[in-house]
Amino acid sequence: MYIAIIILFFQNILIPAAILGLWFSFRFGAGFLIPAAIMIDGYFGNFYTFPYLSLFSILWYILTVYLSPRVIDLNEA
Amino acid sequence: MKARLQRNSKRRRQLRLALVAFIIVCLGFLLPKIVTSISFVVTYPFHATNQWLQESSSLVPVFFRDRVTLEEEIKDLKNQVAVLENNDLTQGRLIHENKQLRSLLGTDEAERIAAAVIARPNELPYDLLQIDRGLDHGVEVGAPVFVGQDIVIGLVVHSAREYSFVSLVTSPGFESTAFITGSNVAVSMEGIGSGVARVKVPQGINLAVGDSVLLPSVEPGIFGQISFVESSPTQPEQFGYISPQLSINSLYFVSVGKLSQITRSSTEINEKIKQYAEDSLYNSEVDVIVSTTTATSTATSTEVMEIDSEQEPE
Repeated sequence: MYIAIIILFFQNILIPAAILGLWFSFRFGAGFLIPAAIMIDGYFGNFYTFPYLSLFSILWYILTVYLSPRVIDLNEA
Repeated sequence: MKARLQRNSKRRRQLRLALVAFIIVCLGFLLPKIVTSISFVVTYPFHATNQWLQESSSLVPVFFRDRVTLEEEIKDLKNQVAVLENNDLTQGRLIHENKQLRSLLGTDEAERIAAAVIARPNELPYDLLQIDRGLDHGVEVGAPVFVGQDIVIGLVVHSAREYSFVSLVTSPGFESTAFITGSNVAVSMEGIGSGVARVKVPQGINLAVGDSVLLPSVEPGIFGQISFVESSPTQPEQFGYISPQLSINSLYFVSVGKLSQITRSSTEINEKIKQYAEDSLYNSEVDVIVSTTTATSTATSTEVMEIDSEQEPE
Protein backbone atom coordinates (compact mmCIF):
# COMPACT_ATOMS: atom_id res chain seq x y z
CA MET A 1 0.00 0.00 0.00
CA TYR A 2 2.95 2.25 0.79
CA ILE A 3 4.26 1.84 -2.77
CA ALA A 4 0.78 2.35 -4.19
CA ILE A 5 0.49 5.73 -2.41
CA ILE A 6 3.80 6.89 -3.90
CA ILE A 7 2.93 5.69 -7.42
CA LEU A 8 -0.50 7.33 -7.23
CA PHE A 9 1.15 10.61 -6.17
CA PHE A 10 3.65 10.37 -9.04
CA GLN A 11 0.78 9.73 -11.44
CA ASN A 12 -1.04 12.81 -10.15
CA ILE A 13 -3.98 10.70 -8.96
CA LEU A 14 -4.14 12.77 -5.81
CA ILE A 15 -7.56 12.05 -4.31
CA PRO A 16 -7.12 8.23 -4.15
CA ALA A 17 -3.55 8.83 -2.90
CA ALA A 18 -4.89 11.06 -0.10
CA ILE A 19 -7.59 8.53 0.84
CA LEU A 20 -5.04 5.69 0.96
CA GLY A 21 -2.63 7.93 2.91
CA LEU A 22 -5.35 8.72 5.43
CA TRP A 23 -6.18 5.07 5.92
CA PHE A 24 -2.51 4.11 6.07
CA SER A 25 -1.85 6.80 8.73
CA PHE A 26 -4.42 5.39 11.15
CA ARG A 27 -3.64 1.75 10.34
CA PHE A 28 0.18 1.75 10.39
CA GLY A 29 1.14 5.23 11.62
CA ALA A 30 1.82 8.46 9.74
CA GLY A 31 5.52 8.33 10.68
CA PHE A 32 6.18 5.99 7.74
CA LEU A 33 4.88 8.64 5.34
CA ILE A 34 7.55 11.19 6.37
CA PRO A 35 10.49 9.52 4.52
CA ALA A 36 8.31 9.08 1.43
CA ALA A 37 7.35 12.77 1.55
CA ILE A 38 11.02 13.81 1.92
CA MET A 39 11.98 11.63 -1.06
CA ILE A 40 9.12 12.99 -3.20
CA ASP A 41 10.14 16.57 -2.33
CA GLY A 42 13.71 15.71 -3.26
CA TYR A 43 12.57 14.19 -6.56
CA PHE A 44 10.63 17.31 -7.52
CA GLY A 45 13.46 19.59 -6.37
CA ASN A 46 11.32 21.26 -3.72
CA PHE A 47 14.25 21.54 -1.31
CA TYR A 48 15.53 24.35 -3.55
CA THR A 49 12.34 26.30 -2.90
CA PHE A 50 10.09 25.02 -0.10
CA PRO A 51 9.52 21.38 0.92
CA TYR A 52 5.74 21.59 1.29
CA LEU A 53 5.06 17.88 1.37
CA SER A 54 7.74 17.04 3.98
CA LEU A 55 6.54 19.75 6.36
CA PHE A 56 2.94 18.76 5.77
CA SER A 57 3.79 15.11 6.55
CA ILE A 58 5.43 16.13 9.86
CA LEU A 59 2.40 18.24 10.81
CA TRP A 60 0.14 15.36 9.74
CA TYR A 61 2.16 12.97 11.91
CA ILE A 62 1.82 15.25 14.96
CA LEU A 63 -1.89 15.62 14.28
CA THR A 64 -2.44 11.86 13.97
CA VAL A 65 -0.46 11.23 17.17
CA TYR A 66 -2.99 13.40 18.99
CA LEU A 67 -5.99 12.25 17.00
CA SER A 68 -5.55 8.47 16.86
CA PRO A 69 -6.04 7.77 20.64
CA ARG A 70 -9.29 9.72 20.47
CA VAL A 71 -10.44 7.85 17.34
CA ILE A 72 -9.59 4.51 18.97
CA ASP A 73 -11.42 5.57 22.18
CA LEU A 74 -14.49 6.46 20.14
CA ASN A 75 -14.39 3.08 18.41
CA GLU A 76 -14.15 1.30 21.77
CA ALA A 77 -17.01 3.33 23.22
CA MET B 1 0.60 4.53 37.13
CA LYS B 2 2.60 2.12 34.93
CA ALA B 3 0.21 2.65 32.02
CA ARG B 4 0.56 6.43 32.33
CA LEU B 5 4.36 6.12 32.37
CA GLN B 6 4.23 3.96 29.25
CA ARG B 7 1.93 6.44 27.52
CA ASN B 8 4.23 9.33 28.44
CA SER B 9 7.32 7.55 27.14
CA LYS B 10 5.47 6.66 23.91
CA ARG B 11 4.43 10.28 23.46
CA ARG B 12 7.99 11.42 24.10
CA ARG B 13 9.23 8.97 21.49
CA GLN B 14 6.70 10.23 18.98
CA LEU B 15 7.65 13.84 19.58
CA ARG B 16 11.32 12.92 19.25
CA LEU B 17 10.57 11.30 15.88
CA ALA B 18 8.76 14.44 14.70
CA LEU B 19 11.70 16.57 15.86
CA VAL B 20 14.23 14.34 14.07
CA ALA B 21 12.16 14.48 10.88
CA PHE B 22 11.96 18.28 11.16
CA ILE B 23 15.74 18.49 11.61
CA ILE B 24 16.23 16.28 8.52
CA VAL B 25 13.92 18.56 6.51
CA CYS B 26 15.82 21.64 7.72
CA LEU B 27 19.12 20.02 6.78
CA GLY B 28 17.66 19.15 3.40
CA PHE B 29 16.60 22.76 2.98
CA LEU B 30 20.17 23.87 3.77
CA LEU B 31 21.84 21.17 1.66
CA PRO B 32 19.33 20.53 -1.15
CA LYS B 33 21.86 18.92 -3.47
CA ILE B 34 22.51 16.02 -1.08
CA VAL B 35 18.81 15.32 -0.51
CA THR B 36 18.00 15.48 -4.22
CA SER B 37 20.88 13.11 -5.03
CA ILE B 38 19.63 10.59 -2.43
CA SER B 39 16.04 10.98 -3.67
CA PHE B 40 17.19 10.41 -7.24
CA VAL B 41 18.59 7.00 -6.23
CA VAL B 42 15.69 6.05 -3.93
CA THR B 43 12.91 7.20 -6.24
CA TYR B 44 14.50 5.83 -9.42
CA PRO B 45 12.26 2.70 -9.50
CA PHE B 46 9.20 4.95 -9.11
CA HIS B 47 10.52 7.32 -11.79
CA ALA B 48 11.08 4.38 -14.16
CA THR B 49 7.62 2.94 -13.41
CA ASN B 50 6.04 6.35 -13.89
CA GLN B 51 7.81 6.88 -17.19
CA TRP B 52 6.83 3.41 -18.34
CA LEU B 53 3.18 4.00 -17.45
CA GLN B 54 3.09 7.37 -19.19
CA GLU B 55 5.17 6.82 -22.29
CA SER B 56 5.46 3.13 -23.09
CA SER B 57 3.42 1.67 -25.90
CA SER B 58 3.27 -1.82 -24.41
CA LEU B 59 -0.09 -3.36 -23.59
CA VAL B 60 -0.38 -2.66 -19.84
CA PRO B 61 0.42 1.10 -19.87
CA VAL B 62 -1.75 1.63 -22.93
CA PHE B 63 -4.56 -0.14 -21.12
CA PHE B 64 -4.12 2.12 -18.10
CA ARG B 65 -3.81 5.35 -20.05
CA ASP B 66 -6.95 7.24 -20.73
CA ARG B 67 -8.16 6.51 -24.25
CA VAL B 68 -10.24 9.67 -24.43
CA THR B 69 -7.18 11.80 -23.62
CA LEU B 70 -5.24 10.17 -26.44
CA GLU B 71 -8.06 10.77 -28.90
CA GLU B 72 -8.23 14.41 -27.84
CA GLU B 73 -4.50 14.74 -28.32
CA ILE B 74 -4.74 13.31 -31.85
CA LYS B 75 -7.52 15.74 -32.69
CA ASP B 76 -5.53 18.65 -31.27
CA LEU B 77 -2.43 17.65 -33.21
CA LYS B 78 -4.41 17.32 -36.45
CA ASN B 79 -5.68 20.87 -35.98
CA GLN B 80 -2.18 22.12 -35.30
CA VAL B 81 -0.82 20.43 -38.41
CA ALA B 82 -3.56 22.06 -40.50
CA VAL B 83 -2.74 25.51 -39.08
CA LEU B 84 1.00 25.01 -39.42
CA GLU B 85 0.71 23.93 -43.05
CA ASN B 86 -0.94 27.24 -43.85
CA ASN B 87 1.63 29.23 -41.94
CA ASP B 88 4.63 27.49 -43.47
CA LEU B 89 5.35 30.02 -46.21
CA THR B 90 4.92 33.09 -44.01
CA GLN B 91 6.99 31.54 -41.24
CA GLY B 92 9.72 30.48 -43.64
CA ARG B 93 10.03 34.02 -44.95
CA LEU B 94 10.07 35.51 -41.43
CA ILE B 95 12.63 32.97 -40.17
CA HIS B 96 14.89 33.72 -43.12
CA GLU B 97 14.59 37.47 -42.52
CA ASN B 98 15.20 36.99 -38.80
CA LYS B 99 18.34 34.94 -39.46
CA GLN B 100 19.65 37.61 -41.81
CA LEU B 101 19.08 40.36 -39.25
CA ARG B 102 20.70 38.28 -36.52
CA SER B 103 23.77 37.61 -38.60
CA LEU B 104 24.00 41.33 -39.26
CA LEU B 105 23.88 42.02 -35.54
CA GLY B 106 26.57 39.40 -34.98
CA THR B 107 24.54 37.10 -32.78
CA ASP B 108 25.25 33.43 -33.30
CA GLU B 109 22.75 30.65 -32.84
CA ALA B 110 23.05 29.37 -29.32
CA GLU B 111 23.50 25.66 -28.74
CA ARG B 112 20.32 23.85 -27.76
CA ILE B 113 19.58 20.51 -26.15
CA ALA B 114 16.60 18.65 -27.57
CA ALA B 115 14.46 17.03 -24.90
CA ALA B 116 11.32 14.93 -24.90
CA VAL B 117 8.53 15.83 -22.51
CA ILE B 118 7.97 13.02 -20.00
CA ALA B 119 5.16 14.59 -18.00
CA ARG B 120 2.96 17.63 -18.41
CA PRO B 121 1.24 19.73 -15.71
CA ASN B 122 -1.90 17.58 -15.89
CA GLU B 123 0.20 14.49 -15.14
CA LEU B 124 2.18 15.97 -12.25
CA PRO B 125 1.12 17.14 -8.80
CA TYR B 126 2.85 20.49 -9.49
CA ASP B 127 2.49 23.00 -12.35
CA LEU B 128 5.74 21.82 -13.95
CA LEU B 129 6.92 20.15 -17.10
CA GLN B 130 9.22 17.15 -16.81
CA ILE B 131 11.79 16.56 -19.56
CA ASP B 132 14.05 13.57 -20.18
CA ARG B 133 17.35 15.50 -20.15
CA GLY B 134 19.27 16.36 -17.00
CA LEU B 135 22.69 17.21 -15.62
CA ASP B 136 24.29 14.34 -17.53
CA HIS B 137 23.21 15.96 -20.80
CA GLY B 138 24.28 19.47 -19.84
CA VAL B 139 20.96 20.95 -18.71
CA GLU B 140 21.57 23.86 -16.33
CA VAL B 141 19.20 25.12 -13.65
CA GLY B 142 17.81 28.46 -14.82
CA ALA B 143 18.21 27.73 -18.55
CA PRO B 144 15.36 28.81 -20.83
CA VAL B 145 13.16 26.19 -22.50
CA PHE B 146 11.87 26.79 -26.01
CA VAL B 147 9.25 25.36 -28.31
CA GLY B 148 10.36 25.66 -31.91
CA GLN B 149 12.91 28.33 -32.69
CA ASP B 150 12.11 31.17 -30.35
CA ILE B 151 8.94 30.63 -28.33
CA VAL B 152 10.05 30.53 -24.70
CA ILE B 153 7.79 28.55 -22.38
CA GLY B 154 9.70 28.47 -19.10
CA LEU B 155 12.89 27.96 -17.14
CA VAL B 156 14.56 24.85 -15.75
CA VAL B 157 14.03 24.91 -11.97
CA HIS B 158 15.46 21.55 -10.98
CA SER B 159 17.83 19.25 -12.76
CA ALA B 160 18.61 15.69 -11.69
CA ARG B 161 21.01 13.38 -13.55
CA GLU B 162 18.50 12.04 -16.05
CA TYR B 163 15.54 14.40 -15.91
CA SER B 164 14.69 18.03 -15.25
CA PHE B 165 11.66 20.03 -14.19
CA VAL B 166 10.63 23.18 -16.03
CA SER B 167 8.67 25.94 -14.35
CA LEU B 168 6.32 27.40 -16.94
CA VAL B 169 5.93 31.12 -17.61
CA THR B 170 2.26 30.48 -16.92
CA SER B 171 2.88 28.77 -13.54
CA PRO B 172 1.35 30.65 -10.59
CA GLY B 173 3.92 32.93 -8.98
CA PHE B 174 6.18 33.13 -12.06
CA GLU B 175 6.96 36.80 -12.67
CA SER B 176 8.90 38.38 -15.51
CA THR B 177 9.23 41.58 -17.46
CA ALA B 178 7.34 41.53 -20.75
CA PHE B 179 7.24 43.82 -23.73
CA ILE B 180 3.95 44.20 -25.57
CA THR B 181 4.17 45.10 -29.22
CA GLY B 182 1.43 47.29 -30.62
CA SER B 183 1.07 49.38 -27.49
CA ASN B 184 4.89 49.26 -27.07
CA VAL B 185 4.94 49.05 -23.30
CA ALA B 186 7.11 47.10 -20.91
CA VAL B 187 5.13 45.64 -18.05
CA SER B 188 5.44 42.92 -15.46
CA MET B 189 3.81 39.63 -16.36
CA GLU B 190 2.63 37.00 -13.90
CA GLY B 191 1.60 33.42 -14.43
CA ILE B 192 -1.84 32.51 -13.15
CA GLY B 193 -1.85 28.78 -13.93
CA SER B 194 -3.82 26.61 -16.37
CA GLY B 195 -1.58 27.73 -19.23
CA VAL B 196 -2.42 31.43 -18.90
CA ALA B 197 -0.29 34.45 -17.95
CA ARG B 198 -1.51 37.96 -17.22
CA VAL B 199 -0.20 41.49 -17.74
CA LYS B 200 -1.42 44.52 -15.84
CA VAL B 201 -1.50 47.77 -17.82
CA PRO B 202 -2.81 51.20 -16.74
CA GLN B 203 -6.04 52.40 -18.34
CA GLY B 204 -5.52 54.58 -21.39
CA ILE B 205 -2.88 52.35 -22.96
CA ASN B 206 -4.23 50.68 -26.04
CA LEU B 207 -4.06 46.97 -25.33
CA ALA B 208 -5.45 44.82 -28.12
CA VAL B 209 -6.09 41.15 -28.76
CA GLY B 210 -3.34 39.77 -30.99
CA ASP B 211 -0.52 41.98 -29.65
CA SER B 212 2.65 39.92 -29.35
CA VAL B 213 4.24 39.50 -25.94
CA LEU B 214 8.03 39.25 -25.79
CA LEU B 215 10.31 38.42 -22.88
CA PRO B 216 13.28 40.79 -23.15
CA SER B 217 15.27 38.88 -20.53
CA VAL B 218 15.47 35.78 -22.74
CA GLU B 219 17.27 35.64 -26.08
CA PRO B 220 15.26 35.05 -28.31
CA GLY B 221 12.12 35.44 -26.28
CA ILE B 222 8.74 35.44 -27.93
CA PHE B 223 6.09 34.21 -25.53
CA GLY B 224 2.68 34.51 -27.13
CA GLN B 225 -0.17 36.82 -28.02
CA ILE B 226 -2.78 38.61 -25.98
CA SER B 227 -5.89 36.52 -26.34
CA PHE B 228 -8.27 38.43 -24.09
CA VAL B 229 -8.42 41.95 -22.63
CA GLU B 230 -10.34 42.64 -19.44
CA SER B 231 -10.95 46.36 -19.14
CA SER B 232 -13.41 48.10 -16.90
CA PRO B 233 -13.52 51.95 -17.10
CA THR B 234 -14.08 52.20 -13.35
CA GLN B 235 -10.84 50.34 -12.61
CA PRO B 236 -7.42 52.04 -12.76
CA GLU B 237 -5.88 49.07 -14.55
CA GLN B 238 -6.73 46.72 -17.36
CA PHE B 239 -5.61 43.12 -17.72
CA GLY B 240 -4.38 41.29 -20.76
CA TYR B 241 -4.45 37.48 -20.72
CA ILE B 242 -1.82 35.63 -22.70
CA SER B 243 -1.71 32.01 -23.67
CA PRO B 244 1.14 30.39 -25.58
CA GLN B 245 0.60 29.54 -29.24
CA LEU B 246 0.79 25.83 -28.49
CA SER B 247 -1.11 23.91 -25.87
CA ILE B 248 1.32 22.76 -23.16
CA ASN B 249 -0.54 19.47 -22.85
CA SER B 250 0.17 18.61 -26.47
CA LEU B 251 3.92 19.20 -26.24
CA TYR B 252 6.20 16.29 -27.08
CA PHE B 253 9.55 17.93 -27.72
CA VAL B 254 11.21 21.07 -26.43
CA SER B 255 14.69 22.52 -26.68
CA VAL B 256 16.71 23.68 -23.71
CA GLY B 257 18.91 26.72 -24.15
CA LYS B 258 21.93 27.84 -22.23
CA LEU B 259 22.06 29.90 -19.07
CA SER B 260 23.88 32.61 -21.05
CA GLN B 261 20.65 33.25 -22.98
CA ILE B 262 19.11 34.75 -19.84
CA THR B 263 19.77 38.40 -19.19
CA ARG B 264 19.74 39.44 -15.57
CA SER B 265 20.96 43.03 -15.77
CA SER B 266 18.26 45.67 -15.93
CA THR B 267 20.38 47.77 -18.33
CA GLU B 268 20.45 44.94 -20.86
CA ILE B 269 16.70 44.37 -20.48
CA ASN B 270 16.06 48.09 -21.03
CA GLU B 271 18.31 48.02 -24.10
CA LYS B 272 16.34 45.08 -25.47
CA ILE B 273 13.01 46.84 -24.86
CA LYS B 274 14.36 49.92 -26.66
CA GLN B 275 15.43 47.73 -29.56
CA TYR B 276 11.97 46.11 -29.80
CA ALA B 277 10.33 49.55 -29.79
CA GLU B 278 12.69 50.81 -32.50
CA ASP B 279 12.17 47.69 -34.61
CA SER B 280 8.42 48.20 -34.50
CA LEU B 281 8.86 51.62 -36.13
CA TYR B 282 10.77 50.15 -39.02
CA ASN B 283 9.01 48.63 -42.01
CA SER B 284 11.26 47.00 -44.56
CA GLU B 285 8.54 46.85 -47.21
CA VAL B 286 8.09 50.63 -47.50
CA ASP B 287 9.85 52.39 -50.38
CA VAL B 288 11.00 55.96 -49.95
CA ILE B 289 10.37 58.13 -53.00
CA VAL B 290 12.81 61.03 -53.42
CA SER B 291 11.94 63.64 -55.98
CA THR B 292 14.90 65.60 -57.49
CA THR B 293 14.60 68.54 -59.90
CA THR B 294 17.50 69.85 -62.00
CA ALA B 295 17.70 73.51 -62.97
CA THR B 296 19.01 72.88 -66.47
CA SER B 297 16.27 70.53 -67.50
CA THR B 298 12.61 71.42 -67.86
CA ALA B 299 11.59 67.86 -67.10
CA THR B 300 11.44 66.54 -63.55
CA SER B 301 13.14 63.28 -62.92
CA THR B 302 12.04 61.01 -60.17
CA GLU B 303 14.26 58.44 -58.59
CA VAL B 304 13.11 55.63 -56.46
CA MET B 305 15.52 54.83 -53.71
CA GLU B 306 14.86 51.72 -51.79
CA ILE B 307 15.95 51.53 -48.21
CA ASP B 308 18.23 48.64 -47.67
CA SER B 309 17.05 46.20 -45.03
CA GLU B 310 20.53 46.35 -43.51
CA GLN B 311 20.07 50.06 -42.71
CA GLU B 312 19.53 50.75 -39.05
CA PRO B 313 16.17 52.31 -38.10
CA GLU B 314 16.23 55.89 -36.93
